Amino acid sequence: MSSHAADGRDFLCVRHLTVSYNETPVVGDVSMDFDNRAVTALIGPTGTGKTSLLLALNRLIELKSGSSVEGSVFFYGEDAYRNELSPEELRRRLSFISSEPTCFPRSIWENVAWGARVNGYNGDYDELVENCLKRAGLWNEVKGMLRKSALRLSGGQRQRLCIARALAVGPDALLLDEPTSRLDPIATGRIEDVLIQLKEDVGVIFATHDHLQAGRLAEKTALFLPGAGGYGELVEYEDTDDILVNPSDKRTEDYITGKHSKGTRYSV
Amino acid sequence: MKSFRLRIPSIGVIFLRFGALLSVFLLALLVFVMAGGAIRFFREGNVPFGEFLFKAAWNPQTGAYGARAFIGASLRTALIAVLFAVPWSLALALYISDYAPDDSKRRFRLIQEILSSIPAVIYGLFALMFVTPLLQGIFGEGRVQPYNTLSAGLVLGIFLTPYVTGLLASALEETQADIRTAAMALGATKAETLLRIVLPNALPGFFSAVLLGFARALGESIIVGMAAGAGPDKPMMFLRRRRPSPVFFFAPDPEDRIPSSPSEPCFFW
Amino acid sequence: MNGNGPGLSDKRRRRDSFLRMLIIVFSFVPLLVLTFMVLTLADRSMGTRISIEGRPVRQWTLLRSVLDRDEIGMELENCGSEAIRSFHFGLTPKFVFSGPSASPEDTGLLAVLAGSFWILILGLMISFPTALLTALWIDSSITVSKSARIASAVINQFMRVPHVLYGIFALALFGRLEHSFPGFGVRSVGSAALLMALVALPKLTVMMVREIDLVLEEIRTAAYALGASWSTVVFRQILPASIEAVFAETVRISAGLLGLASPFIVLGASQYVSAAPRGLGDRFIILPAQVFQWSLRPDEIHRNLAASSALVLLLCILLLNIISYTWRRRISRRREGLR
Repeated sequence: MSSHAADGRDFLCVRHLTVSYNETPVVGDVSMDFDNRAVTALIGPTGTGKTSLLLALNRLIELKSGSSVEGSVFFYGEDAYRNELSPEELRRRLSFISSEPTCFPRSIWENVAWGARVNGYNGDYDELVENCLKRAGLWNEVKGMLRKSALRLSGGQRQRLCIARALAVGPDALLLDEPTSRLDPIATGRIEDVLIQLKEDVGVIFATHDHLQAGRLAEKTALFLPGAGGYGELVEYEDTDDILVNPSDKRTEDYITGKHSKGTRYSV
Repeated sequence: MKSFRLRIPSIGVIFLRFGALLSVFLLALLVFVMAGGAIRFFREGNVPFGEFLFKAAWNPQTGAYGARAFIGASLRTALIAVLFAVPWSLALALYISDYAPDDSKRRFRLIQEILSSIPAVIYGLFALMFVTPLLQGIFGEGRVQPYNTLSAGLVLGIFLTPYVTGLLASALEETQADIRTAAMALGATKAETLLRIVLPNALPGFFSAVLLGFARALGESIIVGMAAGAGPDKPMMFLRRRRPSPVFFFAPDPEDRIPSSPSEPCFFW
Repeated sequence: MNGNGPGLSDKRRRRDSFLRMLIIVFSFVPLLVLTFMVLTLADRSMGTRISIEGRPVRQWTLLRSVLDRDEIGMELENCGSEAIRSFHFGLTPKFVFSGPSASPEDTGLLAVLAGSFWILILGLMISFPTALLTALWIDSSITVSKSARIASAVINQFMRVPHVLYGIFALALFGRLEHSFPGFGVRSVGSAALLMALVALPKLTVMMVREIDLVLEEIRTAAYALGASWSTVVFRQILPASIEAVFAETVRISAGLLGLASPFIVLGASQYVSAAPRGLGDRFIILPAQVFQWSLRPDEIHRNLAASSALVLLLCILLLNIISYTWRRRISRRREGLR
């Protein structure tokens, strides 16, 4: 894999990032370094800007109306928001998968090949499609119906198709927004298996409100909680074991142990 | 179970039915009168339907009722109009759906609404006062007559633009924002997203918009009447004067009016 | 594993910005053309005039009077010593608010405007309640009654029937009526109002069905769940929730109806009326038909009249549109606030 840098620390660094919609910040002043050889989970209650942060990493946030971003994102040392690399290139290498599995109304084969074709892939497409579907754990289920419409698939299969589609463009990392929030436990288990296998060759960054899922999958976990300003703040970013077993922050402990029956409790 | 009254149809419901039936009745009457006029024309005038559609000569005095010239001119004018309208409409629809920022989107919608309520007479005046002199300036006064098909077609195209834009914009909206985001999340540029996902998805809507625009162009009479004229015609080219078929409802002889209807409903049903 | 170079290729970027430019440029063309349209009308509505003893002989448009100064001077000399050269504005309060006159230089639009608005209002008075009843019936029984579905489909189809056909229909129908009831005139304000009602009917019905459909299904279900009868639901819930939007949309539709000329020309709008209509039996004239008739005259003076009255028509329509737009904005903002 050519995409691995010698030093994983350099891979993706966020500095003082604030994302706002219509001048109202949803997540503020985040500074953190991602590792492309680990699975990273962003956990926290709804409305703390985890999704917005993911979208801001590859500048997809710019497509949402009324959004604005302050601070900087460094991708292998290049400042993404100063146009040191194009947004399209950034999005290809940090491929985002939304919580709602959105397949193109095309065949399964076309869905996987689409992104690669747009990006000018010039290898064997059948091989690429097969490879990506295998890595996404979907090959055995769809190998007989590659030319059928992707809209026939179930929710869990669609989500894995989206993963395969993202893999086909050769990303350095996948950004997944609540990948299992709309799935039943069995489909969730399949997606989790896929993600565990994938971390061998791509980075995985995912947002979830389920800290147990973070415990199952992630080496590192970042916890976001609503801060004094009413928007999400990064409370703790540690190895997952440290966060879940012996959190250093009182608020983390409250969140993990479920003592958060009132949301206002976190506003210090 | 006395407390539960049996519901008999109240006065309101009967009144309502009556109103509804009245409107349906009126509209049905419209079709019957049209069809009746047409059938009477074909039977009493002793004109075979095929002859009406395909024969060229139109001369009520001698009993020659060939509407080919009118129908052909109608089709040609509408074709120019649609060909002229589609590029701008498509661009405008894409601009509204994908490029315009949100607040100017609303402004564009207002403009589109105002444009579509500008009356046809004003477009006709524009053809007469601006487009025809312009064409005369370009092609030479001798070759472009004061009443000509090209000017009618072009102005009809402008007239169609807001209508076709509305239809195309709703066809483009069928591709949800999620799918666009998903395409761009794979590293596609906006142009690639539009050309390879959004437009192929909108293709059926695109065709129906063009067809509806064409039908609307066929039915529009006043612009054509003002720009292309309603006078007698000769075999001709685009720059000459034509008498497209809706126009000949304005013909002075009342007998001429009803017969022409069948060609119209044929196109619209 | 991927055949990509390090960055986005120049070709892709160029293609992207090319499409963006193309779309932006193309989408401004219609606006440009419309600006030309208004400018043309404005240009035609004023200009230099040569008149002899108060009667205009020739007229030039604004642009021509600037460009062809010499020609105008020569023409003035040719006309003799009594000829007076003056600059004429077509769109004056006097033109809009004075009554009709046989001579084109002091004719006014008052009677024509009155005719237009009378016919519009009378037509709406007939078709608004009918359309409302139809829409309520379709809305409440479209799921259960086949006839409501058919009616809805038929009315939708009628949206696409060209306006001229309504005129021919009215001519044929009213012609027969005139034959049997001598008091009924085809070319009268009354029959024009009936025609207007007919043209408005499908438009209004389709709009009302759409607006009533916007009332949340939950509101209906909730009202029925409380044991309300059908008429209670309609008059206490559905109508109050939708009627204001229906009115605002009616204003928008009437802007379109105000500019309608072709069916009325077919029905037989008069060339000239001497006064504003006083009864349903009077001969009728409406503004767009007047524009049409003046525009067919070859002389520059009538074309000037046509352009000026087209500007008046445009202003009326713009006004109605803006009223409707601000009204609907206010309604939708209030609805968003409720949610």
